[in-house]
Amino acid sequence: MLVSVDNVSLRYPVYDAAAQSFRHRLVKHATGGRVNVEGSRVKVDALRDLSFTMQEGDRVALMGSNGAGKSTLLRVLAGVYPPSEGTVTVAGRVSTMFDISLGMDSEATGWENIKLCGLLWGLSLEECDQHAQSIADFSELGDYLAMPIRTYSAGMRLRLAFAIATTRVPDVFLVDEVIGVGDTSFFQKANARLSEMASSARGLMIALHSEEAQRRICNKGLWIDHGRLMAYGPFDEVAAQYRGHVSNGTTG
Amino acid sequence: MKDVLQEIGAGLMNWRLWWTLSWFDLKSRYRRSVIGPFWLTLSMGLTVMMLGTVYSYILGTPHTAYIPHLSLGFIVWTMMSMMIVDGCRTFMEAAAIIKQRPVPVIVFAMRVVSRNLLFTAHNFLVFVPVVFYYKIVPTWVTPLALVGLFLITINGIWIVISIGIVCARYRDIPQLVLSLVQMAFFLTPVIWGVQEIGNEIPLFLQLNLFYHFMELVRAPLLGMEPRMLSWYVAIATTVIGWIFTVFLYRIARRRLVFWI
Repeated sequence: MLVSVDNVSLRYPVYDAAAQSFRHRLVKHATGGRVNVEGSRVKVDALRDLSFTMQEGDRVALMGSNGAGKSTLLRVLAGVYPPSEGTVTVAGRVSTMFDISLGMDSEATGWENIKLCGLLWGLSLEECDQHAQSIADFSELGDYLAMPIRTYSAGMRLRLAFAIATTRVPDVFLVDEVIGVGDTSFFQKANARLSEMASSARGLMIALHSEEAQRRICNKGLWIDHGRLMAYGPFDEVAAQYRGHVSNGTTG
Repeated sequence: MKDVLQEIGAGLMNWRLWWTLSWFDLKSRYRRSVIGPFWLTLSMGLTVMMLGTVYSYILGTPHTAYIPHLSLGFIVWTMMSMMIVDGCRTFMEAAAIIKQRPVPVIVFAMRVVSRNLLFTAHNFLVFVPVVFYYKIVPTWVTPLALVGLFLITINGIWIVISIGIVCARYRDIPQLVLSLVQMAFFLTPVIWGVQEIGNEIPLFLQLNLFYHFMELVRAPLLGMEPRMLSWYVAIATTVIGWIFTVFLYRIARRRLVFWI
């Protein structure tokens, strides 16, 4: 088993501008807590009692409307968000691609960012150097790598980010809606690498909007709605269910 | 508690990562700028020259004593105050990384501290001409300044962690910190305090942590022994501050990611 999620719930506080300021805390104290600040401390139930497992070779497409909890679920699996309840077990190395910046330094050059990301991923300096050339080759950015990445187009950033995130083939690769900005040739290349990963018994979970793209990459579907697991299984089944749900207009 | 300490330790030990991050921060100051962070050094040097001339005249202090006091005071003050003010943004500036990977967040505090040490190294150049012009010779107490710098650094780490956490949660605090630090400048003997402070230290100075830490670096470099009181205060601050920070971190570590 690659990923095991047991009864995971996540609720997190959302602070608006007012709640994030110190004065309201002070005011609350001064008035003995009678000022109603309940409205400013909103708790969001982002995930509710999710349980599922991912096996080797599973390529899971995340489905659900905006705000259903797809990005949150990916971040919980990555270990970025600690779940409020339940446990997440991931066997092996996780790699993530939640936005095309990957936390890179936009003033630094492509080469420097390769090194920086390598270190963020827990590689040693020697390993960074070893992988740098293969990252450069895959990204096909050539001389652009010597330029600050703020000069890159979205597609070029995506190429670099994807090359970095998939270099040391991860056991579990989590991708949020970002692949969209790539051009066709990149998409084919990325697809090939993703299938390669899946065939070597690795897992992939990806949030994509186009069903067409989902179908090309994934063999399973996981549909969540309002933080609840609605369906999980073979891609075509779940996709059909989800499609039916959307066309019935019951979303929202 | 054990895993909290392990987490903090893991962040401190991951020096390759925080060193690279702070090195990139330094480099970004040099990008498209010929002298980069030396602008800060240059402006500090000019300020020291100007204030030195004016105040040694107003206060009637001979500039041979005043300029070394002032230049070192400025360097150490800038180091301490910049770490604190810079520390407010510690976790917010790293939000993109923190929301992408489970990196031990202490790394980002170390990045802030180490980049400020790099800037301080630039600023120390202001003191070099002073040494030669006023012929300040090293004595047996001079190396104590390194101990002082070390104490400032390890206190800087807990301050940056704590202030970074509090500022991530309450967005008003950075403004508050900024104005408090600006006020503290006037309470700290940087542009004054060469001759005024006798054997009896006034209470407001006894309570001023900036004063004690500054003296641990400045006094030895000027050939004087820091007061025992300053050592005691610095060591007590280190212990209390770190204990406080460990507890604060324990409360905040699982929530921090939702605050930024």
